[in-house]
Amino acid sequence: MIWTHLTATMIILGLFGIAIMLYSVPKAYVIVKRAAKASMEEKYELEKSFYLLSTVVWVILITRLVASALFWITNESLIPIIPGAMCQFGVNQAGSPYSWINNGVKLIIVLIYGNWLMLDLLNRRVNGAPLIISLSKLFLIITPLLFLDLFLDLGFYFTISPVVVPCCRVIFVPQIPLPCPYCFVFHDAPMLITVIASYGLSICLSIWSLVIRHYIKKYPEIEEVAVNFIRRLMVFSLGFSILGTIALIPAILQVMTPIVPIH
Amino acid sequence: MRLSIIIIPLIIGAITIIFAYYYIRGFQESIVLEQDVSIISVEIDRRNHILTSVTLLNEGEPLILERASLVKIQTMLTIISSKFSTPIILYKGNLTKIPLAYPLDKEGADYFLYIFTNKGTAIRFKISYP
Repeated sequence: MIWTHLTATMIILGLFGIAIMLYSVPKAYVIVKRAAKASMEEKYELEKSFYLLSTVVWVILITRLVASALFWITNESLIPIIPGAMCQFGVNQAGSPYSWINNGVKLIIVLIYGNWLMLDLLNRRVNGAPLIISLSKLFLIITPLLFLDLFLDLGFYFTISPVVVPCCRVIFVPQIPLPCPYCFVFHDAPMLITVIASYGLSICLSIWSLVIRHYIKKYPEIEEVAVNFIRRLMVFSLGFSILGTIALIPAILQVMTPIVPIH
Repeated sequence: MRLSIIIIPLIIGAITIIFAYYYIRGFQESIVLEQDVSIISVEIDRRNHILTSVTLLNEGEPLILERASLVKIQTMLTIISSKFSTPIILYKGNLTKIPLAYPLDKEGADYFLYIFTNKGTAIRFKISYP
C-alpha cells in the first residue's frame, strides 16, 4: 500500500461510502417493500423516510463523483512513486486487476449516478413526489455498481505497492497505430481533457433527458415540470457540446504543433 | 430541441481529433530516411533530463542539416522542434557533434530524434530514456 494524501483521501471516501451505503440500502428496500400496500398515514411516513434517504443518497453519489475525478488525479500523482511507471498505464499495471476494471467503472458512473440525481431533482419539483418508489428501486438497482465502485477503489488503493512495472512502452511501439491514451491525454495533449469532459457531460445530459422522457410516459403527472426540466438539460447539453467544440481548437493545435515551442 | 444539434458537433469533434492524429502520423511515416548516416552517440544531462547533443557519422555524400525534432513514440507527437541557427554540413567520414537542448520526460519515454536535411530527408535515431 502507498500512503499519500490522495490515496488516503480515496480510502477515506471509500470507507465513508461503504458506511452510508450500509445505512441507505435497507431504507430503500423498506420503502419499495411497503409503499405498494401502504395506507395514507404510512405513505406520509414513507415519504418522510424517502426524503432522508434522498439526502443520504445525494451525499453518497456526490462523494462518489468527487472520488471519480480524484481517481485520475491520484493515479497521476503515483507515477513518480512506482518504478518503471511513465504514465497511468504503469500505475494501473501495479494495481491490476482492480485498476483496469476501475477505469471502466469510473467512465460510466457519472452517467448512472447522475441519472438518479436528475430524477430526484425532478421528483422534488413535482407535487406529491410521485417517483419515490421508482427512485428507491433505481437506487437498489444501482447498488451493485456502487458496491463494485467502492470495492474496486478500496481494493486498488489497499493493494497498490511500489513494485517495478512495465509501462506503456512495452505495448505502444511505433508499429502500433494507436497512441497510449494516458500519455496522449494526460501528458502530451492535456487540452483533450476539457474536450472529453465537455463532450461526455453533453452525452450524459442528452441521455438523462431521454430517460426523463421515458418516465413521462409512465408518470403523466410529471409532464409539465419534466418538459421544462428536459429543456434545461438540453440547453446545458448543447452548452457543453459547444464548449467541447471550442476546446477542440487548442486541443488540435496541441496535437499538431510541438509541445515545447520552436526556438 | 433536436438531439441531432448536440450529436453533430460531437461526431465532428471525434472525427477531427482522429483525422488530425492520423494526419501527423502519416506525415511522420512518409519521411524518407537517410541510410548512410549513423548516430554514434547521444549525450544526456540526466540530472536535468535534457538531451544535450548528438554525434553523427556520415558515410555517404555530404549533407546539409537544417533542423531537428523529437517525437515521443508512445504518442507519436512532436515534443520539440527547432531550426539550427546556421545549417550544419555533414562531410563524408567526419564525426559531427550537434548541440541540442531538448527536454526529456523525467518519468521516462521512448523517442525518435529526427534530424532533417535540406532535401527533406531525415536521419532518425531511437532514444530510450532513462
